Amino acid sequence: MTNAGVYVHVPFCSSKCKYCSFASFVQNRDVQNKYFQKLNQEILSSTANKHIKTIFFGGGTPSAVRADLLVQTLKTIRTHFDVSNDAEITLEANPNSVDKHKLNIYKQAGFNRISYGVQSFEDETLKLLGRTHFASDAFCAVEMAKSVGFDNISIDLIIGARQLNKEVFEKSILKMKHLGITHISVYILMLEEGTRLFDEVKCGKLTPLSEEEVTKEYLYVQNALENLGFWQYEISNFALKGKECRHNQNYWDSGEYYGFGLSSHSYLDEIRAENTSFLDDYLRFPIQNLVAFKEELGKNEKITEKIMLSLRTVRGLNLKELENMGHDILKEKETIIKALEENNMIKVENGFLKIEKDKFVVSNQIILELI
Amino acid sequence: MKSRQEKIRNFCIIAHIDHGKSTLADRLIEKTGSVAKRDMQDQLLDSMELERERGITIKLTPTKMKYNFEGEDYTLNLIDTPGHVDFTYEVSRSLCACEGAILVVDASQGVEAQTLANAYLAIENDLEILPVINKIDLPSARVEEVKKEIEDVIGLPADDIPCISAKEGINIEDVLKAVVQNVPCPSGEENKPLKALIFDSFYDNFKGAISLIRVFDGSVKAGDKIKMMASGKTFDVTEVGVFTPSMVQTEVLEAGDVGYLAGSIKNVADTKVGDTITFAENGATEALAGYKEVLPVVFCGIFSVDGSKYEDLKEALEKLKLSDASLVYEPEVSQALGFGFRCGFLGLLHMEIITERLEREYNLDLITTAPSVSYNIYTTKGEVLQVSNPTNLPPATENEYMEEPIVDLCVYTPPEYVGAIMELCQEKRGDYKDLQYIDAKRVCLKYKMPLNEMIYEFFDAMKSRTKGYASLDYEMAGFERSNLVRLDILLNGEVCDALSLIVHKDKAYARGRGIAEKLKKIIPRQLFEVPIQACIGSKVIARETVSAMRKDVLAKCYGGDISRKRKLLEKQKAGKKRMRQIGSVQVPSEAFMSILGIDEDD
Repeated sequence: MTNAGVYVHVPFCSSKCKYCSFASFVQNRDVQNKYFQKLNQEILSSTANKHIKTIFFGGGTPSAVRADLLVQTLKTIRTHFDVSNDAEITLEANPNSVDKHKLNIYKQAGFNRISYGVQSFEDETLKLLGRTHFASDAFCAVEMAKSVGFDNISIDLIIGARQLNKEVFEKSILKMKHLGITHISVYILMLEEGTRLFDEVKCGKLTPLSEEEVTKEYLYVQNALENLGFWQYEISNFALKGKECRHNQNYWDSGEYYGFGLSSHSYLDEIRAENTSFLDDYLRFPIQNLVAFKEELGKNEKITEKIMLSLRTVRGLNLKELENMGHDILKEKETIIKALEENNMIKVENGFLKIEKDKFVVSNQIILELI
Repeated sequence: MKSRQEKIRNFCIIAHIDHGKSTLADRLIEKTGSVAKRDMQDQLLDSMELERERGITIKLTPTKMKYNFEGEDYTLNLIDTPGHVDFTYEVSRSLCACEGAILVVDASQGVEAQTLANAYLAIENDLEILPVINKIDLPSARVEEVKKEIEDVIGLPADDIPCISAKEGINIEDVLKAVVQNVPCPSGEENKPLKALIFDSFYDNFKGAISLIRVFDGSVKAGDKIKMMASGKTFDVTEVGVFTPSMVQTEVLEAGDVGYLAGSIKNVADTKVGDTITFAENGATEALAGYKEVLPVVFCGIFSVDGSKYEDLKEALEKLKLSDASLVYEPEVSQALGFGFRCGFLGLLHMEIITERLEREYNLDLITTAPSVSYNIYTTKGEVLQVSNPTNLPPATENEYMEEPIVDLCVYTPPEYVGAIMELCQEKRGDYKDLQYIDAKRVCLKYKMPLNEMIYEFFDAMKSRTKGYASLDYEMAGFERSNLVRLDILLNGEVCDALSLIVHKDKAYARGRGIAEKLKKIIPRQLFEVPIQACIGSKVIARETVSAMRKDVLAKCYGGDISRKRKLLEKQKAGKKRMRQIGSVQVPSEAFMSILGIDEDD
């Protein structure tokens, strides 16, 4: 039996953040109940022929819905699938939508990793992003999780909306580390059309950092986090040794995964599928009609994805594996690889091709050259 | 009883662009009942999309019409003429096929540059000119003033001339009457050996190269063995006929007739405009006067955006050449653009038409390099070279001196724009010759000007600086010695051959700076910094830098949303493929063309 991850999408939030372009809604309990009913049906009707190593409840804000709905869903997964005893089971949560009671329920149900949407340590930035919590909430939330026994806690941060206060940043990370976080994801703010933030920028109400400034901040954060003991293992991800997120690692390794819920994606037996992103359709359609898009990956698509995904990681692209897929990139892209090496953008060593850490900011361009 | 030839009138319509030539032609055809009104659209307007769009005539369409005047049936052959200076030679040959010309003058705009140029051309060809004032229905029509202009400027009596509206169909009959009454009938010798003028030709997929001819002496029919007098080639005639305006086969074409001739002719290059057709045996000894080889005056490189489509481009050019003998091309290899062709054209419009036809009719995506002209290079070894491709220019040290083609330019304008035009002509190295007041509202300015200045931002600048009121006309006027240099553009230290230009030394700095600035805007930022330099020889005269890309990261793969990311990458990759790789620099195709339009930006 091959290994796979499970992703569960919980498309509900207590309010929509200004930068959010994901499928998420502020909905009443009735809709939430119906959604989870359908979600459980969907899980039960899937073919359970893979060994599950990781489970990830993302959103939306999973912690914004009733805890028992989450618990029930996780139970369904565990009954339906063969889930590893040491599986990594993550729940995304908002600092202000959890309390000790809830966290206890999560822990008892088997969740063993919490990922908090902290986003910033500065209240002004949080307000600008449309977040409803304060910087101080994040510390409490981490403390609570630790106290109920979570020893794998991650926080998400966003840079690029507003100038970072470096002193506050470093102090906060240090404090977080003492409180027990093991993992940090740092995302550069993307302005997506259709979001409130996009409109605010467009009408001049808000000026995000310039490309140059964001680049500087990213390079700063990279350095600061490594100095504080968080090892960078992917463009946006930093962790204490051994605490890398296994669920995401599986994506970058081109591994297989199930996706359940609204607009979730799966990749099983060479086929990638995406569920509908319309909540009404998800609730209404029969299970076999939930998939809105499906493609079978051919050799070339697999090669492109392998390059694209593994170059996001610090470890880089395993050349032997790529060669086994029938692609000798060193030969095919000889000239450009040489040019990129000469300009200290990539490095080829020990059978891996990797993007230099300080060039992750232009990784898309580098990947484009290599596919 | 009148003889056959006495009942034939061969005439053409000449006019400045937009004065209503084609509309009048359509009206005449409709009035004489040559085409049923409901078929007008299909038959006439279908000729060539491009012509209709631009309101210009590129290919000639002769039409045979029947008209009854005072109880006699007359045959009126209308020979359309191309309405652009690029095709002056074709115009002159079609005028040669006529005895008379209707000169259409716009009732509100009056006499314009091409009105006059065409009138002179008709006079040179001994044609009877019938002026007609068109668009009298317009509120701005000033018929009496325009009549006076015709008398004063052209020197033709204008008292009783037809005043019409071709658009509204007013007084069209007057034009037909004037043609019968005033255009002389042909007076060919019916019993002499055949002598027919080719005034145009085109390629038909089934019948091969078709010649449009005017028979002067003798007659021709299917089965005759003919000879092209300029080339000496012989062919068998398979079909003769007339245009009604669709092609209708007839038994014979006789002295005075206008029609077409098809034969065992595969290539339009063998039906050269201006050539004389006679019999292969016992033919005429002397050809009709006026034949000349038309030479291209404007050149450019044409490449396919997708380098792998070279063969498609080659095939398309071969096919176009079948119907357009004036198009010349030869293979060219550019380091920047790969395999393509250096093509020669009769002028800028011709160039535009060909490239547009290649793109539309053959579905090609093209890169065209900046247009160039043909220079004479006198080398230190005493050779004379003709160079139209900047890359072929020998090093400055090997050139004794260079000559560039010059044109005689006439600009017609309301007096208030004289200053603007003089300024423009001076910027373009024009040599002032003359200024004439045609009347209080119109001035004619004459300049000698290098052709290489005309092909660069001249027409648009003229239009914008005179709000479109000026009209112009020009003709080639030989070569003059000039101080020319090659301007090279270096990207990241490497010469990009497709961007090289031959320019006058005094213009080199401004052009170099302009191109470098423009390229900076067009070349997207890349992983590496890209220096752009404009150089004459090894001397850098302008420099710009495209700074390196600072940030470009794909967002996180949220919940395994990988297909979309991959597709985004694939799309970006496809976009990159459309770019040309010059050394390590990626250059968008637009860059090669954008250098044409620099100075009007600011």
